[in-house]
Amino acid sequence: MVTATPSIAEAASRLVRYHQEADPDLQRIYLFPADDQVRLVEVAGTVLPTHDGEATAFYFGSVPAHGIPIGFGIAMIRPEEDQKVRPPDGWGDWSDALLIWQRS
Amino acid sequence: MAADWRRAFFLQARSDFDVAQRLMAMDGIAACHPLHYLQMAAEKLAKGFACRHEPLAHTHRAFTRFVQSAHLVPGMREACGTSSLQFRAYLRSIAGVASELEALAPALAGDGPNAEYPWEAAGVVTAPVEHSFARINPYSAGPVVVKLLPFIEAAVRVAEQQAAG
Repeated sequence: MVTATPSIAEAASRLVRYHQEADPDLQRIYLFPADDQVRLVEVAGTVLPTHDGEATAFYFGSVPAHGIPIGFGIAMIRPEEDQKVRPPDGWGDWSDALLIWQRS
Repeated sequence: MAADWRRAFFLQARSDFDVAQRLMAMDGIAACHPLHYLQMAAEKLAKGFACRHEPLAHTHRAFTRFVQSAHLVPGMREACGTSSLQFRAYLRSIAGVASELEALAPALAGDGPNAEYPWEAAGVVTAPVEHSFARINPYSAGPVVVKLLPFIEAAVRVAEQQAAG
């Protein structure tokens, strides 16, 4: 299992703060550790169901203006798919996931 | 390799988008033609952002999913020129029309209207050039022109910046 490096963890933390503010419907966020980018699976009831049982990720480059110095990938899933659908290709499986934020 | 695929998808998305705009500026062009190019631009834009190493085989409804994720991308809101509070409402307001545009692809349209090939419904065969495309007609002052077009253009700009960076 890959653990989150300090720079990945810091960038993930900034993205989580941004996402909390941007989406009041988010329920929880998982980090799938990687060496070269932040990979987040985010759970919300407002998105399309996953197709073919695998979450689709979108990838973005660094955004220095927002304090995000490395690239990141985001996949959104529905609450009933949480830990049931396959994570995006190459992200590992749910045993690799770290729950890094949950709405209280 | 991923960067090559992304750059190529974004380049093609820009070109498709530009052609759609040129068609919309011309007289006497059926609605299906700019819609076809807009649908292709949206599809390539989403597929480009979905590239990790190479294009994904499974990108079902990729553009609609992309619209649903865009508020989580720092920089996208600024590119769209909206405030933080307005951006999510704006994305929600274009979700339906984004889905309608995406569904114009023959692979998703089924027996319904698409922008490329004739279809049959209730025993009537219709060519795309005969169809008004009602709510997503690009020649009306409807949601495609007012809201979706600016979003696609902003997302293409973000894509180009990322491909260049």
